[in-house]
Amino acid sequence: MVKKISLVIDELTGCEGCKMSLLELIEPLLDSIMRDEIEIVYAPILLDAESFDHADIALLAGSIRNSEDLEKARWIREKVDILVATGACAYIGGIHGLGNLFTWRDLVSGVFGNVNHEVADEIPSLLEYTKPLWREVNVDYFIPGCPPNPDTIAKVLDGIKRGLKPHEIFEARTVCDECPLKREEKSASKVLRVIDTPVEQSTDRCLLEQGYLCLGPSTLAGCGALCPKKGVPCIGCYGFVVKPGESFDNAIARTIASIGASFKIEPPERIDDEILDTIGTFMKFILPSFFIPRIIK
Amino acid sequence: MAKKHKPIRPLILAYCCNYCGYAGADLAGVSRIEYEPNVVIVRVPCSGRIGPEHIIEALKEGYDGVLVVGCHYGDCHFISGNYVSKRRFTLIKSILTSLGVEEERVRFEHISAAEGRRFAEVVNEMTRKLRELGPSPFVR
Repeated sequence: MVKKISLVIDELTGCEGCKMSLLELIEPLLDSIMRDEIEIVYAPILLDAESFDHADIALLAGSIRNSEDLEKARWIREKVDILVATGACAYIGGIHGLGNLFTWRDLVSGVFGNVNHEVADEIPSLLEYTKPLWREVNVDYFIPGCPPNPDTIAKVLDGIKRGLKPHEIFEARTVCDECPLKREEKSASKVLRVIDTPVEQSTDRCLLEQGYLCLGPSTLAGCGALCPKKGVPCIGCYGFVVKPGESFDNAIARTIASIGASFKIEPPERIDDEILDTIGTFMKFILPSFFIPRIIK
Repeated sequence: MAKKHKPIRPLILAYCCNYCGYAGADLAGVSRIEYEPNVVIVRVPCSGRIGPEHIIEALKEGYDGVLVVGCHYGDCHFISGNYVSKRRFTLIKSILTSLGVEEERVRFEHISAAEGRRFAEVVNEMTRKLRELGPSPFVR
C-alpha cells in the first residue's frame, strides 16, 4: 500500500484567493482522499484541528507582513518536510509588496491619521516591510500565480509526488510561448495604455508590438496566456522566469532590458515619462524579492 | 571586489564603450589630464551591452557609483546601441530612485573619442558629489 500523504493548508497575509483556486481542485482532491492517498491534517479553512504534529507537505500562501505571520511560518516549517510557497505572495511578495514603497509608519498614519503607533501587546505588530517566504524560511517548492491556475497547482503536486526538482517542474517557458497572438517583428514607437486606447476586440497582433506594455516575454508560463488572449496586457503575476541558480534581480533586469529594447522611443530619456509608473509596471508582484525590497531613507 | 586591501572611497565603476568612452578616457590619459583616481574602468564593446543587471550587480558589489559612458547620438559604431542602452538605463534609474537610491549614484554620459577633458570633468564631478553623499547603503 502506498503511504498516505499528509497535507497542511494555511494562509498568512493575503486575499485567500489561492484557497479559492485550491477549491477548484476539490474533485480530484476528494477522489484522492476517498482512495486514502491524501489526508488533510491541518487547514483552518476546512477543518477544526487546532494543531498538528507532523505533515509531509504544507501549502502555505500569503506573505510575511506582521509578527504573527513570521511565527506561523517558522512553526509550520519546523513541522513539515516539504514547504510549498503557494501563490505570488508567498513566492515573490505579491501585489501588496508595493506597500514597501512607504515605511510602515507612513502606511499606518496614511490610513488612520495621526494615531499612537504604540500597539497593544495582544495585536501582532507590523514588520518593517512585506517579505516573501524565502526571506525568512527555507522553501522547497513554489506555485506561482495570483491566483495560481488550478492546473499549475496540480502540476506542482504531481511533480512533488514524482520527486522532481522545482526547475524540472517548470521549464523556462514564457507566456509568449502560450500566447496565440501573432508577432511581426516590429517595434512600437510609443507606449499605449488600455485605459486610454482600449485594445481592439478582434485583434490577433502581439500587444507588445502594438505598443501595450505586456510583460509576457519574461513571465513564467502556466496560465495559458489568459490575459493577452482577451486583449489585456500581461502584468507578470506568475513571476519572471528564473533560471536555476539565478537571483530574482537578474530576472527583473532581463525584463527591463527586453522592454527597453522593444520600444523605439525617441529621445530615449522619454521612455520613463511614457510608462508613467515604471516601478509599478515592472515590479507589481516582485518588489519584495528585489535586492532593495523597500524604500531606503 | 577583493577584500584584502581597502579600496579608496568613493569608488566608481565606469562602463566605457570601446569606440567613444574608452577612447575618450584613453585621450585623457595620453593628454596627461589629472583626474580623481576613484574610477575603475570596464571596457565593453558597446554601451548597448550594458543593461540593468550590470548596474544592479555593481551596486550589490559595493561600488558607490556607476557611470555608463556611450557615444553621442548618431555616433554609435553599431548604429543604435547607445539608444537601447539609454532606454534601459532610464528605466532602471527610475526604479532605483523611487526606492530611495540617490540620483547621483547612477549616471549616463555621452563622451566622444575626442573629449578627454570632458571625461576627466565627469569623473571629478561625480567623485565630488559621491563624497558629499557618503558611502553607498549597500557596502558590505
